[in-house]
Amino acid sequence: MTPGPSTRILLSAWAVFALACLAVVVSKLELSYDLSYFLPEASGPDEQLLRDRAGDAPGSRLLFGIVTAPEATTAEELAVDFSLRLQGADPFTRVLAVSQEAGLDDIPPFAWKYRYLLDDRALTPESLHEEIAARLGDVLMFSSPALVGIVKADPTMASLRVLERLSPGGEMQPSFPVGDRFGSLVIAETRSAAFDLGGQRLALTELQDAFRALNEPSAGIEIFGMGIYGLGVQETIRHEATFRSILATVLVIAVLMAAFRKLSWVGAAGLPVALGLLAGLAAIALIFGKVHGITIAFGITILGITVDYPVHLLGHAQKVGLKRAIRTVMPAIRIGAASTAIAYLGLALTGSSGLAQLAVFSLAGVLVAAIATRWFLPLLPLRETDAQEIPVMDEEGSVRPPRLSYLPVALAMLACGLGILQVDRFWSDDLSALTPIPAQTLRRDHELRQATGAPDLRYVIISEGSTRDEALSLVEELTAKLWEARALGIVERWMSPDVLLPSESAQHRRVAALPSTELLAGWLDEAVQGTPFSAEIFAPFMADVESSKELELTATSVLDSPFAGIFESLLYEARGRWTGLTTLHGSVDFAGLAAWSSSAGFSGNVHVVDLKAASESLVARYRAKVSMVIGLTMIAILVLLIAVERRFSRALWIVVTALAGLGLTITTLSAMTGPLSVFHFVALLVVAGLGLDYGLFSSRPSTAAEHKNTQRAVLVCVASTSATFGVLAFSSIPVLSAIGTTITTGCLMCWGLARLGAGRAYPH
Amino acid sequence: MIPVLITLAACAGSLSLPGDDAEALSMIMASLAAPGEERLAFVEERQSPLFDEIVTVSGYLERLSDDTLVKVIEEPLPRRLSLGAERVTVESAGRTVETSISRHPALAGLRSGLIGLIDRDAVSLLRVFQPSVEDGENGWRLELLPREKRVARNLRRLVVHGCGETLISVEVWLADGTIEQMRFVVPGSGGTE
Repeated sequence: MTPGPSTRILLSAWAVFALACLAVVVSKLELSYDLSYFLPEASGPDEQLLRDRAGDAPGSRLLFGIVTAPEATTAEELAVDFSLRLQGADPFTRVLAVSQEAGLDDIPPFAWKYRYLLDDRALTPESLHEEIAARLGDVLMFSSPALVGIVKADPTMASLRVLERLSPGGEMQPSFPVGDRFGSLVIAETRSAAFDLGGQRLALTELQDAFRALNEPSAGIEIFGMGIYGLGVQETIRHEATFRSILATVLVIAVLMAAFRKLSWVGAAGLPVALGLLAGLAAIALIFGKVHGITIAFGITILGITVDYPVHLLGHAQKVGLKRAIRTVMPAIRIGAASTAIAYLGLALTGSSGLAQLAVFSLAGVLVAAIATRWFLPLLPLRETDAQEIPVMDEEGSVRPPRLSYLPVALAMLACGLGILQVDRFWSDDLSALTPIPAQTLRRDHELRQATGAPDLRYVIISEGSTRDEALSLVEELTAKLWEARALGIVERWMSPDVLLPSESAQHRRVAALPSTELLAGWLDEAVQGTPFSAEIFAPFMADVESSKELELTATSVLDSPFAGIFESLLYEARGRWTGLTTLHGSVDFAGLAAWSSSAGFSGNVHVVDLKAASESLVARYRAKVSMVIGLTMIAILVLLIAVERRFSRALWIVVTALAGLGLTITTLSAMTGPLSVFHFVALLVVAGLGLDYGLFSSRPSTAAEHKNTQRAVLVCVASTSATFGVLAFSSIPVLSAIGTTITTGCLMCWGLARLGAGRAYPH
Repeated sequence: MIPVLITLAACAGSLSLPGDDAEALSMIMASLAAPGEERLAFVEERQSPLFDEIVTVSGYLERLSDDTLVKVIEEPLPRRLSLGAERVTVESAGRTVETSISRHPALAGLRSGLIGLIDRDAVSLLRVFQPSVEDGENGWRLELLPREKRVARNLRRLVVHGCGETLISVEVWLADGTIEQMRFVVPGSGGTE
């Protein structure tokens, strides 16, 4: 059949639309992996901190390499060789082997150069005398070339005090047993943030190359760290997504083939979905510019459901021809698409930029898929031979609304009530439960972080100021108070940005306190009295004190140093305010910390944050907001249904049946898998959409034959949805598994309730 | 640098050592008399590039049953250095600093050398050091070179002097040019042997 001129024009218009969407996507869209994008809007500084630092928390850039060997000393030596090979490598700001000899000769040039600006101990005749005597004791104990160098240029050991504050992790064993071998740890800080998987891959390749270059057959290596887990997860997701999407596609094609028995129809059923996807991506590109990886994954999943529209149309077309099918099913598809669009509009208002993006994507996709089902599919040269061969059985039969029963809904509610008694908790507010990283890996990571003294990320103290310097001054005041908390045994060690960049006033005060060359020479002469030292050996010390007076330490100086990564994670600007973080290391008395912080007399801009509590309150508030939005959208949908159908009883039945389906799904899932996460919650939105669709189609006034066709088409939709999401339900990735189990369960529950509730429509 | 001159009286009890250094070391260790006291008093002459003059240090060595070697300096500044199998502890003026000995390979080497000598344990010494033995009329001279590079980075060598079954002194040669000449004090003699 040759298409007529008007069909050709319309097909060309669709082609232009698809190409325009594609052009927008290709030219404007960028991929992003910043997880904070998916967190809801924060309320208060605690949640704000969680949001701001979600992707780049202090310590998240650390990678741990454990070099193993049969002997402890071999492992230690190999670890040192390994770290030496990585010095200066581009992906890293710092690399350190724990077994490296206690490093008087490894003082970083930054800490050495600025030591008199960074050290808060004042240089006085008394302190100099005390320090010179202490150095004599050190030299008498055991000397080394590095110690000789330090004594000459830094007899007060200012550089070591700075270094100690820069390394709050405490001391680690240089080697430890790993099974029947020994391991030695190398810590590498990456230049790129943990979520920058491209940068993390470069770092991993560099580590692997350096290890291979050791050329030691007996050695092994294990590499840990947030970035590595990210790469692992990406790999697993890629593998799982490929495997499962192929399997799901094959299953959907099989279901559609069983239903339509024509490949051209199956292909046609996929076209509205494809157009919807393109339109969704183009809408994001135009509105947001960047698309998050999760938006694509979730969005495609959600849009996959829109295959139901062509399935309904083609399912009916197969029996009664395309023209009549359009008349029969399009009203329900229109309402279904409109109510789904309302639900996604609600999602856009939940306060998370990521979810708003997801909503725009789904909204545009659903509308375009529905429009394409109505206005694009009929343009295709689909053969309708079957339709002519099958007699329209009930053509003369009257169009009647089905008899709608609330009995299944009542039974479902009863089941929910009984289920509630069995379930302790429906929701988990634990953000960490959402991680796709295996629990065993997380335990090992926790152990390594504890052993290396990486900060405990549950509690941090934030100091906020309108300028960087104000924030730093507040951090310095806090540091002074923390020494008191330390004396009380509440905290042990901490890391704060003032260690790397003192406030301007602190720098000026320290420089002003440095003595003149003449004065220092006099102090030295007195200090060396009665010791075997001669004052002349301290010439480098005098020169360095003098040159320090000309130095000025700025943020740029720190950012040019190997400490840039840690500095940026501890001091940052967000929404025009500067925040300084103080992370706690070693043992912390958390109860004591809470009591101390409330009595320490901090200004309103300094306070202790419990990140776990903040994350839980964030999720709980978010869930409450999404629940409210779902409630409001259900009311809006009810109003829409009443307005369109003008029959309150049918509209109410559809909404109540969908809600009962949701309730039954939540209870079943909670009983089966334990408390539900945010991922389950978002998937429930899809279930709500499915429940509405099934209710709409099942309760549509129709002839007995049409009703049968509808039930058959709904069954095809249920089969294809269950097949797709059933495949996801068995995924090892929590997010995919949560979506899969929720939608499969929800789809079956909603279909069952709609089928039973409207099943006795045409009693014989 | 001015080498420390060790003036020794002619040694009476020669051991007639074999040519092979390892065997000679074993023979020296086998013939050494057990230290009479738990504490081995010493006087040490210290020469350092930081000092104008040679500094004399006195104190004692103590080998504890848990394989810890304690070096106590009494003069000129009281200090206590404990070298355990795993930890190094420095105590001075009421302050204690503790660290892992693996991070100080030279101190680990010194500990092995001094404990090996006190225990007269040739096998332990041979495990850590490459020996070289000279025998002469002033007694025997045992030079111990660390086998491990990381030990040798700071501890260049130990030179042990003895006469017959008596251990006279140990010289510790450090990489910074420091030479510590530790002479052991014979109990009741009031001076060094």
